[in-house]
Amino acid sequence: MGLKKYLFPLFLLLFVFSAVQYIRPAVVAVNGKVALKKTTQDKLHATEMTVKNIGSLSSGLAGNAGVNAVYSFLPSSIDHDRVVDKLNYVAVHDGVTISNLTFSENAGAPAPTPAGVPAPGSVLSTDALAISLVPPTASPETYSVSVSMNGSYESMKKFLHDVSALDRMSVVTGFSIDAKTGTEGAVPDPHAPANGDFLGTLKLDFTYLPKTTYANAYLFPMFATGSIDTKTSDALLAKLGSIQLAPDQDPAGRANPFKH
Amino acid sequence: MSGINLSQSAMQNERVQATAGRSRFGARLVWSAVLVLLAAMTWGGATCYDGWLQSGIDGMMTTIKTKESGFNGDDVDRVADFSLRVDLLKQNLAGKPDVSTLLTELQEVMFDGVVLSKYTYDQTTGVIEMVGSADSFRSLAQQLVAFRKLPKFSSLSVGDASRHEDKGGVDFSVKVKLK
Repeated sequence: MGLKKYLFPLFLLLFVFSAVQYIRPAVVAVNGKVALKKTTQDKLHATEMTVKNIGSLSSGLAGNAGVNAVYSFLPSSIDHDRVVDKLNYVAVHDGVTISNLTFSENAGAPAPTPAGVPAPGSVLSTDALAISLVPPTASPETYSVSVSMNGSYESMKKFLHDVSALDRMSVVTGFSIDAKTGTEGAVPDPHAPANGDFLGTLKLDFTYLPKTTYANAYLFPMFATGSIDTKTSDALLAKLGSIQLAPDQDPAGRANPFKH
Repeated sequence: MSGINLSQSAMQNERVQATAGRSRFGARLVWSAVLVLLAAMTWGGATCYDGWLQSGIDGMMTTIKTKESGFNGDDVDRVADFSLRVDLLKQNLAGKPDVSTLLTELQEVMFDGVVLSKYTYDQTTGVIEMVGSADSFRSLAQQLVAFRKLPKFSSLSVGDASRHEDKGGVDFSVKVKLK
């Protein structure tokens, strides 16, 4: 009878013990799995969308005329021939005589990544559910062109304007205009400018972006969104081949700071 | 008689108590069995559901891995390359200065008595160096004040200013730091 008396409380204790020891962890695990399943479903959906977007974006670019404009403004390799052609075209138009062109490669290695900072384009976590990425950045390369020229002040100014607006990714890194046409008593230089002309130098950096391969479409947000910027390429297409040449008339002010 | 009655009553009471005790024990036994069964069903159900969820997750993960194998290749390279080029060009087009405007601004502030002989612009250092001559120190001073007022110029330093005794006038060189 004594044992019977304690049997029910014992069962109750057993129930509480099993609830704490086995049932609670099982329920917690189920809750975790439900959340994980939801995340995995989202991830699967995103993956399916990405696969779909890769195909649609790629085929969309195939028929886009702006792509050629983009590659024309920023080619994938050195294009000295085009640059010579463009500079010559602008110089002839503006009345500048180019006496020398010197091309030089800029040995610019990509900036080293500081210690502890992940490199651009690296995948921090390979866990497909919690993928952590560092967005890639382009690694453009440049080459410099030094131009020696002569001409009037006005023509050089026009030349500088037109060169600044070339339909090519470039930047003017320096220029000089020198009114001195020679030193008295010096041996006559056959390349010296005619009387009244100026000597000029111009330095430009032209950028190109070599093609590379990209290991993971997750690195690029456009594959997730399915949209890509075509406004810029359309704008470049409109600008391509139509250099906005400098106007003949200068604004107010003294026409030539090198002359009274 | 009354004693016999009492004895019978006591025996009846004992029987009733015994029956009630057995009944309570039986009810408790049933409750205990129900609790144990409930606990076992809850645990078993949760474990089975967990396994079912895990198999579903494993299946989706396998699908994801399979689909991710197509995340590189020519199509990705073409689109990614185009996108990076567009980003670079946007930055370049937005910040591409027309260097001829430096000369236009210079023209607007040139004094009559001052003439330049050399003008050098260096984008990397942001410095413009001008060499020229003025008909007097007064003209030079006026010219320097006019240079200082140009919004693009942040600082100005005169390297040299010397009077020409034979030709007259003042030769000067000026360095201007751009903002």
